[in-house]
Amino acid sequence: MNKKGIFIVGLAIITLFIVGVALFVFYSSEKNSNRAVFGEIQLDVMETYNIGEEALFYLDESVKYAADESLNQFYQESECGRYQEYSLWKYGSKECFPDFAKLYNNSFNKNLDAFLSSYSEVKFPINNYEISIEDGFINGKAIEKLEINKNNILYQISPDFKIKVYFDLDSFIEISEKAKGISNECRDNFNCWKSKIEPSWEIKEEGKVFMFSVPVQFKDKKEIIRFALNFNPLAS
Amino acid sequence: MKRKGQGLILADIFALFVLFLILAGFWFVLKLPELLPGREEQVIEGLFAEDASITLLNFLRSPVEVEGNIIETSKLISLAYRDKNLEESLRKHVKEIFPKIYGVCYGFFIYDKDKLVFQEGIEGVSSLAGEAMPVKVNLPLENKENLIIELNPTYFFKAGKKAFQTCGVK
Repeated sequence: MNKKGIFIVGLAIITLFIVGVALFVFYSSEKNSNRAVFGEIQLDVMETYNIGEEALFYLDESVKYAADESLNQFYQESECGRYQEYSLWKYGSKECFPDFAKLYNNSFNKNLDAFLSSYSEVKFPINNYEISIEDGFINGKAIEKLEINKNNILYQISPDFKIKVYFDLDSFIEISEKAKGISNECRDNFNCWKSKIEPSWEIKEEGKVFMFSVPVQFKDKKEIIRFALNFNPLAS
Repeated sequence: MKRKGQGLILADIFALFVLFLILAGFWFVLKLPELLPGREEQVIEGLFAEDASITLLNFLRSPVEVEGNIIETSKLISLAYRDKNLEESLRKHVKEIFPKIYGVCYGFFIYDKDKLVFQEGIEGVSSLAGEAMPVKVNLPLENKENLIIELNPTYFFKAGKKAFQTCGVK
C-alpha cells in the first residue's frame, strides 16, 4: 500500500480543519472590529446637522411668504363678524377693537403652518411662534424646539428667525386705539365722529352703523383698513 | 494494463485539488470585503455629499444682481420659475459659481414635482472623474407648492489628480 497517498489525504483533512477554525476566528473578529464603524457616527452627526440646515432654509423661505400673506388678511378678522365688506369693531354693546399684534401673530402662525405642513423631511411643530415686529424686522421666537431624530442621533434646534419687512404694526395699533377713544367720547353722534377723525379717514353712515375706510401707507403699497361700528342697541 | 498504486496517485491528485479549492475559498472569503465597496470608502463618499449639501444651501442663500436689484438666489429661482425671461440670469449665476468648485463635472437641476424645469451642467449619475452623489433641497413657492433643487457633483477622489484635470478644476 502506498502510504504517501494516505499522508496527503490526512494533510487535506487537517488543513480543512485549520482553515475552518481560522475562518471562524476571522469572521468573529471582523464583526467586532472598530475599523468597520470608523467615521460612521461622525457621518451620521453631519447628516443630521444637514437635515436641520435644510429644514431651517425651508423655514426662512416660508416665513417670507407667510409674513406678506398675513399682512393682507390679519386686519380683516374680528370677533364681532363683518358688516358688508367692513370688519365690525363694535356690535351693540359688544366691543371688538382689535389687538393687532395678537391678530397678526395668529394669522402669521396659521399661514406659516400651511407652508410647513408640505415639508415632509422634518415635522415642524404647529402654531409655534411668538411674533414681534421691531425696527423693520419680524422676530419669530419658537415655543417648541425642532427635533430631528435620525440614526439614533437626536438633534434639537430652536428654529427662531429674523427677517426684514417693509411694514410695522404701529400704524394699525394707532388706528384701533384712536377709534376706541373717539367711540368712548362720541358714541353714536355722527357729527362728533366727523369732527374728531383724521382728514385721511373716510366715514359714512347707515342708520346707527358707521363705516370707515382708513389708508395705511407701506413702503411701496397702500392698504385700506375697512371697519364699521354698529351702535344699534338692539344688535346682539 | 493498470499498474499497482495508480489509484492512490489519483487520490493524491484529488487531495491536492481539494486542498487548492479550500485555500482558494479561504483567500476569496478574506478578500471579499475588499472586493465589495468598503466601509471607509462609503464614509469618504458620504463626506463629499455633506459638503455638496452645504455648498448648495450657501448657493441658494447667496446674493445675485438681477436687473439692478440684489436678491437672494432662492428668490431668483422662484421668479425664474414663473418668468422664463429670468432663466438666463439664473443660468449665468449657476455658471459663475459651480465651475469654480466642480469644473465641468456637475449638474444643477430644478424639478417641479417630477418634471424637470431647469438644467445646467452635465446630465447623468457619473462621469470620467468618478461617482456622482446628488443632494436635494426643497424650496417653497408662494402657492405652497415646492420646487426641488438638485446639485449633482461628481467626486474626484477615485481618479485622483487626473480627475481634477478632466473636470477642469484649477
